[in-house]
Amino acid sequence: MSDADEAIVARDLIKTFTVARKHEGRFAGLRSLLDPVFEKRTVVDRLTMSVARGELVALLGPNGAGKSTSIKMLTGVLTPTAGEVYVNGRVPYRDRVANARSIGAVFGQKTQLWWDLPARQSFALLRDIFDVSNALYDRQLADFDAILELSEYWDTPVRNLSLGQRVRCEMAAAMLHDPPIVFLDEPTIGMDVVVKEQTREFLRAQVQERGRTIVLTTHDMTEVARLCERVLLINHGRLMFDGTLDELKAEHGSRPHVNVTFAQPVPVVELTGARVVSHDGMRAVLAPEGVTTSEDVVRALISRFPVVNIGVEETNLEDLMRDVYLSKLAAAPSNATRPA
Amino acid sequence: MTSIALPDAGRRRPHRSWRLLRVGVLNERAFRIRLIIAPMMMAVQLYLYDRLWTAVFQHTSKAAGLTLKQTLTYSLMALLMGRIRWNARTINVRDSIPIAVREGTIVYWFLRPISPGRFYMWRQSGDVLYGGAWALLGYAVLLAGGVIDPPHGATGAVVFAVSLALGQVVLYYLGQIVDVAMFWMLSNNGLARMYYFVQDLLSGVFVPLPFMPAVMLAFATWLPFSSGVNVPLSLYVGRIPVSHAPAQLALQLFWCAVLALVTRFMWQRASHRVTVQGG
Repeated sequence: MSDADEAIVARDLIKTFTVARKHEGRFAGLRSLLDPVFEKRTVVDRLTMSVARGELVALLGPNGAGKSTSIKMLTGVLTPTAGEVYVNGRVPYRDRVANARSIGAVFGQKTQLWWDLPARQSFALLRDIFDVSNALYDRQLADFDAILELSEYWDTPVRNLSLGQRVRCEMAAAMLHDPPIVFLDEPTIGMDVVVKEQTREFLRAQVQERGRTIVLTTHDMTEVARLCERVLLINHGRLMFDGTLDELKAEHGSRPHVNVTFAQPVPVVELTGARVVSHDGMRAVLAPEGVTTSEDVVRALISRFPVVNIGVEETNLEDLMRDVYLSKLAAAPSNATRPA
Repeated sequence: MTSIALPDAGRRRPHRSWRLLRVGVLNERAFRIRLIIAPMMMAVQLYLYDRLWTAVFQHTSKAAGLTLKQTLTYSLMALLMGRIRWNARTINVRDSIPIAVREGTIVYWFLRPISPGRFYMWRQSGDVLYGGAWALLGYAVLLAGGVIDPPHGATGAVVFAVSLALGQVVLYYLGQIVDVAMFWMLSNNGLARMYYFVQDLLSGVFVPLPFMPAVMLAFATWLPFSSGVNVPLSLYVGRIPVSHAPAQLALQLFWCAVLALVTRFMWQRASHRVTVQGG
């Protein structure tokens, strides 16, 4: 795939900040003021990645991994210290004005809406700033309203909106000018489940019906599982994994568990190809090992024990990510390559 | 992507600058109490200054080369001129640079097809026009009440208007330097407070510059602050004759040009060192 086919291309992207290091010991505050010591801190370290047009990609990583800084370089807000970046075929930080027309962004904890004005006035302001035609503006608002129910509260000053209402308005504001590429930095943080689902439906529609490319950073693994075809895992500013969630599970050895309840206490549960995770007589949890599948374990349990209830529990994604983050913290491999 | 034809024929939209100009007024309208407080505050300030200068001139007809009426005209109009940029320099407005940098929302200034400098200019211009409307109202009331002198003829009025406009441009650029410094300092409250005190003192808002000690007056004259308030008001009250106006206007233009270059350079540098606070 050539660069022209990609919505986003980053090669060996580096971002280094100069930060003041605090003195220690006596009069540390005064010494820091009079004799500041600066040090370089690399937040993004040779990040190489690409995103195809129309893809919805999750950019994952623990706090401080460099996700937000990467997003800010991809949007053109931050200038990389080194490396190449192209968004919609353009170097975003060199031509910010032109770049702005082809991207939209939501930074979950920061509002781009005018705080004291009704959300609809912010939309109108953005319409004028982006020079959106009346026809497109009307259509966009109608489409967004159909899913996000904006009209219920868009005449309320932004300062009086709930978090969920505000973030839905932020989504609409970011896409009013119909950008082909959208960056969402933790957009659903603090939302309740109903609003989250509404937001996911909106994002799905933007990708499937409008063909937008979306890069999403989130800590909500349910969101990732329901929305994203591809996962990019970043830690210490470096790309640690690039692939599907299933590939991540497979690479990390994550397997489903089989939960079983017996009709009467069973003193010992032993099956070839399965590890007993827990067992208390009436109930047991087993994990398939090696080539054994969960279906093999279910069949073996039913044939050998008085089973009254049995089920396969998929991997808990939160636990999976915790394990992945911890293992990736320990190891510091080079940039991953995207699977073919 | 299909496009749905919606009935927008005949719906004409003003240029985006018009909507950006209006933001300041809309913000004020969102808090109606401000529309009551603004004229009250202005009336109290003008009344107190009127009483103060009247008391100062109780035993003398002239001070620092100015009569009471000239002093009142200078001083009260200086207060009104301070009102012009009142909202533009309020550092707690959420879409001001200091707050935007501190809260990280500055990120959106760089994600719009309008440069941050231009966006800043339109927002500031709107605030200045809004403040200017209040100042004009106050001026009309003072003039109608005979508290201040009218301008010296049509020429005097035109010269004053041009000088006032140039003075506002100088103050706009000076304020912008303080605001854009936020990109380096990340917190400029102290700088802003100090700057606005110095600006008001050395431009003639607090006290007419002719009342300053000679050394301070010379110092103030060599700095751009004087171009903001003292020059237009000195032309208005006749302390600077209209025949000397070209030199004064040229000096104001000089400061406009220098400060425009400085702010342009600062914006260029600032855009390379945007720091987004708060993740």
